[in-house]
Amino acid sequence: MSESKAQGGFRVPDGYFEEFPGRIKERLEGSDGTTLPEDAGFRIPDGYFENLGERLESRLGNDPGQVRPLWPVQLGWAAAAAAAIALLFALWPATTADPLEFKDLAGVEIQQYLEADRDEWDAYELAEGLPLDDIAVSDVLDNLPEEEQILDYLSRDNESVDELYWDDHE
Amino acid sequence: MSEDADLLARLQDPARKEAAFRVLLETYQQRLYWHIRRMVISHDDTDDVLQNTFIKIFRHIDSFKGESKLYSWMYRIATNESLSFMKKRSRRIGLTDQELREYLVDSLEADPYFDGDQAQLQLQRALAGLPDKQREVFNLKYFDEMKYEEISELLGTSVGGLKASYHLAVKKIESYLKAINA
Repeated sequence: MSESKAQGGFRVPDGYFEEFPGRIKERLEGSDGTTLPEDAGFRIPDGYFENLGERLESRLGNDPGQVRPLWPVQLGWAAAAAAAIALLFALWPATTADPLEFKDLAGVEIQQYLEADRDEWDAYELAEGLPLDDIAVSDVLDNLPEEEQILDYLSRDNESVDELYWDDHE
Repeated sequence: MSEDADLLARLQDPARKEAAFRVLLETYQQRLYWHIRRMVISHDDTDDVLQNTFIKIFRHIDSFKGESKLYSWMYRIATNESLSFMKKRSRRIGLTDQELREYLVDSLEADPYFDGDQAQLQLQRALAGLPDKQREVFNLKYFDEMKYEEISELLGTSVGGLKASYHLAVKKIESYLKAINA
């Protein structure tokens, strides 16, 4: 990388960029005559890089402090007894509630789940980030189609792939 | 043993970690600063992100296995920190990522740490309209004058994909500049 160009046009404080050229060159001719500036025009405060290490060290050296127990030792036994009683009630045979099922979830919750962090990765990042080499077909399909079914499917002019993955392989 | 490998060995040795970290800081702070600065635009935000980046590097250096170059690993941390920072900020003020970037670029004229001329301002406005990947490739190729092979190693993207991204970026920038200067 040419450091002179990367830093060129950025006004740099004395002593930070030893070779800071202090230059903003004239325009760079584009392929069709459009001119583009060679640098972005950003600059930084005087002394910024000199102090960065010290500021980082102060953040890294933050002592979390002495941990003081939230409860006095004397209360420990009382808390343990209370927890034991609560556990006894919790485990006492009682009318069992029906387990939560997927259909019990409100539609909005499902929607929120599906949309959560959806915008963290765009299609490009997904394509770049998915370790396709490490994924086998069996990782994403419960029922693998057999060779005969695949050949049968391919021999037909069918646009749907659903029937390949029927549970009963019919 | 290469310089990076030697530095990494010292960074992963508790007895020598702090001294090695100072060397790491001196060696890479400027490269990472400018990479972040081009992503988040303002110096103050860059300072925050740069510090967070180095703190993450310090705290997670033990888990770095050396499967990529040390700078590539740090570069990815800086990139993720920058993107995360921009995303959080845009959400907080109710703008899209692009709207936030355009807002920040519009603020550059009053920024004491920006002394670019109109052409540089226009270039920043054009860059603000690019997708993150195209902007990143353009910055590395155009400002840092890196070779495609170097960028490929840094980003883990094929040379062909990089050429396509750069080509698209240049075309969009040229179209933008032509339109506003017509």
